[in-house]
Amino acid sequence: MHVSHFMKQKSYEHIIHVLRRHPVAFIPTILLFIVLFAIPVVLYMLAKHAFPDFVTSTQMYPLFVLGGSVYYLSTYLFLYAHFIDYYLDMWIVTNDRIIDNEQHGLFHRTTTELELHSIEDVTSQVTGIWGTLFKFGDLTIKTSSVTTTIVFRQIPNPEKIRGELIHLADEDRKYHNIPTTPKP
Amino acid sequence: MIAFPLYIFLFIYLAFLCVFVIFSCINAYHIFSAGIFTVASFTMTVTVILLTLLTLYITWQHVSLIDWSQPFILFEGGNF
Repeated sequence: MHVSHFMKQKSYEHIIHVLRRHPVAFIPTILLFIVLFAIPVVLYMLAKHAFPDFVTSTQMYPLFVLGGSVYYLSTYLFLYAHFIDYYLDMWIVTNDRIIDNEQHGLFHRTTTELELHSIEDVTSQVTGIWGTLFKFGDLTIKTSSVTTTIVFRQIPNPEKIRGELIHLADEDRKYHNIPTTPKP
Repeated sequence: MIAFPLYIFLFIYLAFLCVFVIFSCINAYHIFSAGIFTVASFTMTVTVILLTLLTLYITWQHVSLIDWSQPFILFEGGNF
């Protein structure tokens, strides 16, 4: 994997984490694909049973063949596009910064970057039965800037990563001689 | 009565195939440009390619048996 595609690494910088969404997060898409795959087969069986002459008529049969082919090819595109959307979401944590790469559909990609010392708040959130069972969830990172918020979506072990980020942010503040915000 | 040859649908299908190929190439470009060659991306890419080839093969098996020069009659007159 070329992380260099997503970031230009500084000389003193080393990568600590390359995070992706948990594999379980892709299962709903696979289940949906299986349902979409099965629908024409079920409909064809029903139609063949209920209207056998209509389905096999010289007028309609070519349309069913081509329509079925278009439908299945479209579902493959759907599956692959969703896989790319899922797979190209990537969060890189280095000893200096966080880079957030998110793919939204085929033609929309956002990259956000923030310095570790600017982190003010890190919140992890594990929701739902699957998140609890497989230990994945969201991690929200807020900075002093109102506009910059990064969300690591459906990453494995968000609580562990949260602890590490807080530690890294403290280390970076020490490095930049920035006083840690006093706790109330 | 409105009638046109069946092969019109074949042309529409071929136009769809062109769109399909373009979008597939864009998908593949995303994976290859990101340089992500893992077991997951390889498995998914191969699965989609194999499913596509299988679908095109089955389509061809059926399409080759059809007489595309026949007219497709949309509205047949004299029913009223």
